[in-house]
Amino acid sequence: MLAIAWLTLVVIGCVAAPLLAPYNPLEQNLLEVLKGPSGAHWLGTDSLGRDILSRLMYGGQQTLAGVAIAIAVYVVIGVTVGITAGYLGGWVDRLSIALVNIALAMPPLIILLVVLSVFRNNTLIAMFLFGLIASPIMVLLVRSASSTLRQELFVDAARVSGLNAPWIIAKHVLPRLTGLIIVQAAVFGANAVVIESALSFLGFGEQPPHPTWGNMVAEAANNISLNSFMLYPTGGVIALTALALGVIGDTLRDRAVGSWTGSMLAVDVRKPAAQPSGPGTALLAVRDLGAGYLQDEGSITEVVRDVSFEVGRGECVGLVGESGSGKSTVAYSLLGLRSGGLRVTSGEVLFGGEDLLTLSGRQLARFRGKRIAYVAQEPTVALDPNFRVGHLLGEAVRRNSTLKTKEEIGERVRELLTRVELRDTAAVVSKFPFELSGGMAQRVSIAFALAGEPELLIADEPTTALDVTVQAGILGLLLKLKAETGMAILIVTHDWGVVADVCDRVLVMYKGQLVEGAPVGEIFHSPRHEYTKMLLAANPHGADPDHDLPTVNLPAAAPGTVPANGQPDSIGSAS
Amino acid sequence: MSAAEPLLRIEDLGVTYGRGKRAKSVVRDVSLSVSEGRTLGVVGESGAGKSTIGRAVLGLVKPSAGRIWFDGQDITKLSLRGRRAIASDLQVVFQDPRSSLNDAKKVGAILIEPVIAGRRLSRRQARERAVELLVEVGLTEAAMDRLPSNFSGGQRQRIAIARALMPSPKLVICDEPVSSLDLSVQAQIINLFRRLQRETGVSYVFIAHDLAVVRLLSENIAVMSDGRIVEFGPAAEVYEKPVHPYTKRLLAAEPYPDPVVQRQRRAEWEALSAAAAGVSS
Repeated sequence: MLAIAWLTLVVIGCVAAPLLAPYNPLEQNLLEVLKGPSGAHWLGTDSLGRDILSRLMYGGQQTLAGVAIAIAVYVVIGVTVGITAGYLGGWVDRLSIALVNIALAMPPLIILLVVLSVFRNNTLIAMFLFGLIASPIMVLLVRSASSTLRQELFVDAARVSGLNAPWIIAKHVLPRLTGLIIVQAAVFGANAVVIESALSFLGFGEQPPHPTWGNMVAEAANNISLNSFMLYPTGGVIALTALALGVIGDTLRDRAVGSWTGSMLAVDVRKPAAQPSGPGTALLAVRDLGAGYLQDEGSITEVVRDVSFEVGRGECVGLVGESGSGKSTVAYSLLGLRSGGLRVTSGEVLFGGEDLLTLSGRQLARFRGKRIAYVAQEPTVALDPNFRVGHLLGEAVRRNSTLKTKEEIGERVRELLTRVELRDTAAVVSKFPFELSGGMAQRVSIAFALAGEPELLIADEPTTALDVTVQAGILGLLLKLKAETGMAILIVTHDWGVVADVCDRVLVMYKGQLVEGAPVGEIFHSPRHEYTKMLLAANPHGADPDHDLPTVNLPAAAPGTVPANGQPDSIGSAS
Repeated sequence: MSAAEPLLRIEDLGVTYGRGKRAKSVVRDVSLSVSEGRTLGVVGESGAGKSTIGRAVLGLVKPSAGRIWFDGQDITKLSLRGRRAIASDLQVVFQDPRSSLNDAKKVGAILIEPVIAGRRLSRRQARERAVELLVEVGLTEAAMDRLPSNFSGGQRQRIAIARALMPSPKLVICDEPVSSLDLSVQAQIINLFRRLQRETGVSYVFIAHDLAVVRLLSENIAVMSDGRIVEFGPAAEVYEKPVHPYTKRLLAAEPYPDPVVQRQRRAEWEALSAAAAGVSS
């Protein structure tokens, strides 16, 4: 508080110097030289009898202008380059980092001195340059923060709902970075005050008799044997101003710590070429899908191979497997999410007859949210914690409908919340996502997905993080929504119970391949593939407590291959 | 210690978090006991207080009421020194094998260091036992010199179990040890717990949210809701003929891997939860 008050005082004093200063800063009074503080001259006079307070106020203009320029350059360049590099990644990122490293290797003070000898005594240019030279530090900080944010599920959720990159950066990434940016700017500002003063102390910048904080210190130093008091006001102002900025930076940092939480979702799909193909009858038809993760050396490790299946309109299909089976990779490939190095290597994903893999990002955005929606495992992570539920849902409604007025949108938001069986909608809209219980948050994220009236809902382990009683409620809701809207659901799960509860048909994945696909009634009673049999038997429900559980123990096959049985041709087709 | 005296006895346990107006009672009037070589299952949803009971036994939280006896000794308010003395008899396996093993230490050090610090075994003896246990839990001696990060979730849980068994404890508190594991790994770990109990006579307090899992390991099951035990009884009875409405609802909510049975369960669950408080959220 004190620091802010001091800064305000200094800024007002300097900006309004012509109005407030008691004397003309150049007015000499040789009768009153080198005087200490008095009623007429609060901070005393200098060697020519000029009023020190007035000179400080005028002199500060130069310093503050320089500092402001330096901070502006530092922030604008740091944030723009940092966010672009961090969010976009790839070659943009590599290029930026290379430039940053070059900039960091240059000695700042020497550059400043060289520039000042060319642009004689123009400290404003020097401070502009100082901001430029220091900005790589800001670039690095912003870049690392935004590349972490890019991995957050809520950014992916925003992408899935069809938002473009500038929008996401402005609405979702930038707000999370403001704390960091303010802190860095304040700390840098403290530095800039000292550097500016040092430069004018060294005789650069505005020349005497015009005052600057730096040359006033120089003058005080020359007269230190005659009147040592002169040094205190000038040095004090510089020290206190720098200190105040530093304290503000520190306080903000302490407050900001803990509010940035990272999470990881490593998925990305970028599509090489795919061949066009005739429209199918199913809503979604996946043919020979292959996908993998990009490695550091540029090769792709394939984790999903030859996956083909269909999802009919209004059908609920379960995608079952253990971790590492590739089931989530399949879901992400369908959504075309970008992050973490996921690449589709082959195949096609036909949605309503159109191959999603051949679409550009913008074309794909038309599908996401409106026709294909996504519900993630962690609802609280998938919802941007900066905004209230009402705002988040309103944003989704605005994007996915023709509704314009606030009232219409508010009405639709309440309707969506009612559809997901949240009763006190007025209370829910004014809450932040982290204020909701897990079950409520998952209902909100389902409402979010429903905003565009999607034809297909992809739900990735939507109840795994929830208690069983809450899970039963969410699954019941999905069943109800399916019946009401005729929406198809692809649910990724490892839980046979969930499959039995909501699915019409089930696909079993093992080591990146589909090993079996069957209507839900068949798979539990007459599974064909050995793996399916074993996985079903390993389920603790209804197991005999007097015996050990049967475990999954497939005969070792060649690495990465799936022991064949069943009839792969008919695995995935819609019934 | 008389023959009738159980290994662990909890009487009227109460645990309160916070003070004054913010005080929140998370466990109330809980009385339980575990005999040697037996397993007590504790089931409930998140926030029911089941983990807090385990933490109170381990001395990680201070009880606000009640007493805890372990091996004939009152351990309710044990000094640090007293804790150290019983540490080798009372061990724990946590839910998340990722955060429960220090990634900076080799598996050998993780297993050996605690028992050497307790001066129960020489370094050579400790090493022999560590290798023995690694084999026992399905790993090999080679694991000793590797870092935990080289292992999968299931393997890390095996290492955590081996660590708990190093000092030959009498009781292991298992706090949701299989909840984060895949179905196939979960089955292996459940079998491992059962086999180790047969072989060593260790007792377990097995805490989980999943009745179907707890039933496979426990003689008795306590069902908790809102800090209290709402139902207690032999595992088969609680699982097959639950009496308390909460237990019934919990059981009906666990989806059953058979579409026909599950359809009945869902209807049952909807009726029960409508009867309880309308649709829960």
